[in-house]
Amino acid sequence: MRIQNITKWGLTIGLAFCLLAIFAGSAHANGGPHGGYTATTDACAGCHRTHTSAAANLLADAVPALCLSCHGASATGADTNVSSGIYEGAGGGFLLGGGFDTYKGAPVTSTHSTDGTWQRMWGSGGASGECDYCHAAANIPIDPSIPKTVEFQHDVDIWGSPNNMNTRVQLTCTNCHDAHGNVNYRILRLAQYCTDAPPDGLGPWDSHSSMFGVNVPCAVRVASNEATTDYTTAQYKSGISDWCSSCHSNYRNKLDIKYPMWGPPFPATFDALDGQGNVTRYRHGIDAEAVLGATKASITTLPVNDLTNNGTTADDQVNCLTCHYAHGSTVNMAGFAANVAPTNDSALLRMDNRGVCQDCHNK
Amino acid sequence: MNIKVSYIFAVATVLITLGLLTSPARANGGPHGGYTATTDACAGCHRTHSSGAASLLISPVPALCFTCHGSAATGADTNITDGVYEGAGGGNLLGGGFTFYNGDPITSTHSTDGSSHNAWGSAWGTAWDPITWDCAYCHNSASGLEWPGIPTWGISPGAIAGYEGQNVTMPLTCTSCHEVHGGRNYRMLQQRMHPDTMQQEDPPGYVLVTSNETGGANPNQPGYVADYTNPNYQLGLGDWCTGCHFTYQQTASGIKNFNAEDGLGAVKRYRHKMNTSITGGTYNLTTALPLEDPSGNGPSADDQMFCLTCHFAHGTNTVMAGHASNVAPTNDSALLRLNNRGVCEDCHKK
Repeated sequence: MRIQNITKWGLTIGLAFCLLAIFAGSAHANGGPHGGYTATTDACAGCHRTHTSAAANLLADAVPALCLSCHGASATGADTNVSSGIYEGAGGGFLLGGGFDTYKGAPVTSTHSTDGTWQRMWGSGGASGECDYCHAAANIPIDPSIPKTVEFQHDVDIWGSPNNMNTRVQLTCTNCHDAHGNVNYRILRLAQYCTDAPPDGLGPWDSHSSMFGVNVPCAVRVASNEATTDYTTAQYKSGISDWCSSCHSNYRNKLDIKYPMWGPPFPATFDALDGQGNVTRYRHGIDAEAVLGATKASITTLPVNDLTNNGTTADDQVNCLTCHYAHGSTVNMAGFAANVAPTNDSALLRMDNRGVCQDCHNK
Repeated sequence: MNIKVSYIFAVATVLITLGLLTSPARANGGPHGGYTATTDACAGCHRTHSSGAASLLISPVPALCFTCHGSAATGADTNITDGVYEGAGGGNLLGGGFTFYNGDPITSTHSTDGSSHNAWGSAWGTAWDPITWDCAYCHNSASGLEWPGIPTWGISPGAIAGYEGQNVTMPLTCTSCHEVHGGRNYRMLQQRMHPDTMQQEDPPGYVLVTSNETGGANPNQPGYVADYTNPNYQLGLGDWCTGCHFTYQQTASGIKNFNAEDGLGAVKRYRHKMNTSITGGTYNLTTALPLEDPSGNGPSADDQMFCLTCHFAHGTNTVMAGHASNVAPTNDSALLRLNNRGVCEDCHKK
């Protein structure tokens, strides 16, 4: 009798543990409803409503409100509080991307937009081509099958004009992040327009191989050195600069070079809306053009590309996020650094004024 | 008694507090040196993603410099275009002007527009090879003795065969002479000059230029007070100029013969003494022109004449006539301080 009772309890407890394991759900690669879908996933219901959605794409609510219902300041659905720039999971800490409203307790002074209003993609267009040369309703003059993905707004709607630089887009969370998850760091969108990465003399057009045949979207692979997701310690490896320059396309080139579809590259000009007009522009080197070297590696405190995952060393590279936050910054600009065109704000910089310059160059 | 002590204590406290709160004076004003970890100064001249000139400058030199130091600019008190100090007290700048000086148009200047001009008197020491370009004999890609912005030296149009290394041409602009990030030298003069003679060096092998201005021994440190209108030369500037005008420091040709492009060819040349006292010993001269005062004790026997005794650094408005006109190699007023040969007469009083 006693043996039967022990066996009975053992089976019951064992079954309970099995049931708990089943119903706990497998961990999603990017947390929450963003990827790692099984055949009977519940994730769709995290964002979509089939018959009662209140926003396009059958979303439960419009972006970014939908996103902030989990990732917002007072939300509980995710540990990544992007409004306040805080990681609310084990260990806590501040999110690498900064915050959209506050960061480290201070109000932000500049952010990437999330509310879908028209905002300029500084450095877009010009030498690197206007996006809606292909992605336009009329698809002038190329292939009508190329999808119209994002609305663009120009100062003057004349293709090739200098006024097609610094194009405006309606920016929100899903312009940058793939809500359905992917292999990229921070589920950054894969199908972005690639600038010439790596530089191979053929210009950016080769990244869009659809020009001359197969319509293959360009995929910018953004990789990190994380073993497990780490939202508070920078572990950039490669690709982030290429990715950022999908929009801020001219910032990828040290000197504006235009790669026409036919003919050799030639120096181009750019209007940075700084009062100097459409002139030749020079850019700070990025990635392979900005290897730290031993001296700068020994003094910089800023995050860099660590291609070899061996800690801060001379072969590490400056990337966009070395100097800039992705989401929002709280730094202040004064003196010479105040009201610098074209943003006339803190430009998502990581340090007050030009601290990001001084951190490496140590003048 | 207690009230008096308290009052004194209060005043002292205020004074100490003011001293603590006052930020250290930027050695050279504006964006030129004295950088903190979060300096705004970089944005005074540089643009990371939209610069209009090499070295990530907002615009090319000298236009960039003139946005603060030009005639109608407000970013700096030193208006070098007109040679006017626009700060407290005003006055004429010590270096002269690039377009006007004392209200008169300039008759000769050091170039600023980056075009190539002769570095008159340039050559190199006893190891000099007359066949090659002068400075580039050592400073070239093969030797690796190069730096960002290194000039492109050229052969003078008036050079004669066998002496192409003399009076080389080079593109000259503001940053050829001045270190815009600040430095150890008076007026942020470039620290990489290594003339034949150096009365003081810092770092070793490179000429140090100091002044008798307050804190002038090291103008890149807090406490430096620049005086742009009264001469306070101490030591080193005469040596510095000969970093380019190399042979002018030598009293007689020490390096073979020299072609001064005056029609006489490559012959032995004699030079006015430099860095020498004008009183005592052989000479007993007096002058109203500026001298270097190495001891900083005012007019005294150890004061010595140097390049700026006779010449302005930037530009002059003097006029040359008669025997003084069209004198080779410059055939102009050669940055002289006084009309004709007034600089000679001021000392020699013939």
